[in-house]
Amino acid sequence: MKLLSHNILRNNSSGVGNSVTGGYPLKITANEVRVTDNEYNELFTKNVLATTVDWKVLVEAATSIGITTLPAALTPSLLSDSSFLQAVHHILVNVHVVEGVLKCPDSGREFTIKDGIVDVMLEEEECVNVKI
Amino acid sequence: MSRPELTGSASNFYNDTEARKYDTNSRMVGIQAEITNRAVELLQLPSDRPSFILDMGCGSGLSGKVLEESGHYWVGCDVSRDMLNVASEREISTSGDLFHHDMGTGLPFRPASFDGCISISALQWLCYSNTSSQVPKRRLVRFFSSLYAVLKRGARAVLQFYPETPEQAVLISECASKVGFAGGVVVDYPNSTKAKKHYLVLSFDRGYNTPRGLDDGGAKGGVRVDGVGGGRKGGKNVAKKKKGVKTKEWIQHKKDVQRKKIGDGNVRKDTRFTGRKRKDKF
Repeated sequence: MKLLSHNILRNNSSGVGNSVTGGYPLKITANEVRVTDNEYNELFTKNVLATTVDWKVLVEAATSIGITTLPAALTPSLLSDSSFLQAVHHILVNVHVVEGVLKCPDSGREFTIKDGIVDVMLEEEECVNVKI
Repeated sequence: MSRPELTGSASNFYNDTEARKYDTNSRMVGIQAEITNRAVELLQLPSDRPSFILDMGCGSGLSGKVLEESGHYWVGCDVSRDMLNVASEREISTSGDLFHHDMGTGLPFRPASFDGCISISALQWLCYSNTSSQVPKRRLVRFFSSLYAVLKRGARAVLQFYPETPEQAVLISECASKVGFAGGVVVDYPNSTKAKKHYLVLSFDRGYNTPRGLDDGGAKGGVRVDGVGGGRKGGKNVAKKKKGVKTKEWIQHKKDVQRKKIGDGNVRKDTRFTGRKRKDKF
């Protein structure tokens, strides 16, 4: 699991308070972390930082697996700094949690990560009920 | 060949052997790549930058490979762990990430996360229930409503599927329109049995017109079914009364052809009795 995916992942079972925004962010307990190499893409990084990534959650997630170099807040000058963007891209896309557990902050439900694949299977009873 | 959907859940069908077969079958690989390319074309993504795409039912990552080749970043979900294992073994997941997830339980992502969504040959699995607690319609609505939330405004979703019956296609597009999507089903190569493909193209834009389907140059163009968004249309399908083969037009045409061929004088003149129905004597 990449940190970029972690940044958008939430627990969507009915056990969390808000059915749209609850169950977020999941707490990482990593047993094994692997780093791959992906080509750096500045446009994607800029876009994803502006529209998708929750910076505070990313900093927390990075800290929980031992990366403490990220600044606490994003500033416009940082966003135009190419070497900073490259580092962020590396953390977002190249750092994988291979083995570990994700824990929901609201319900405490745990999701296991094995071989880099997160198990987010829910039972029918856990699902949010929808009107049909 | 019977449909795999009828044999049980997708995670049982796509076991280790089936997943490996699927991944190494060159015909399968070719078809999946072709469908994915078409789906990406239908997504109409911005061309100036890579997008972040959700791939529902990514399987062994064949579609992800295509996304990767076009420079996109993707997140793949699949219900079959064996398929995902094949995907992660191949190390194709450099720009992608894999989740073991059942699309009928709703998507576990934050609102407005993705620039687009594709799904190749997966949606029809939602039309079948494998346990008594699974209600197909509920699972479909749950999937579409969560999809509506996780896409960025302005994003599109292209979901290719194989409906077993026309009713299934209607059920799927009805559920999509129920949660607020506009769009419809694009049918490529409608006159071919094998090449025929259904794409459910969804958009947030109310006035969105689904593009035309592809055709192999036949007389009839691809079919565009604007099902979604228009609300429920008319009641039952009233079958049209079938016309007889030897109609008046048909006789007239035959006579014209003969006139050209063997001369005007050798063909009976047209009268008011030509092609007229005889009395029902018996």
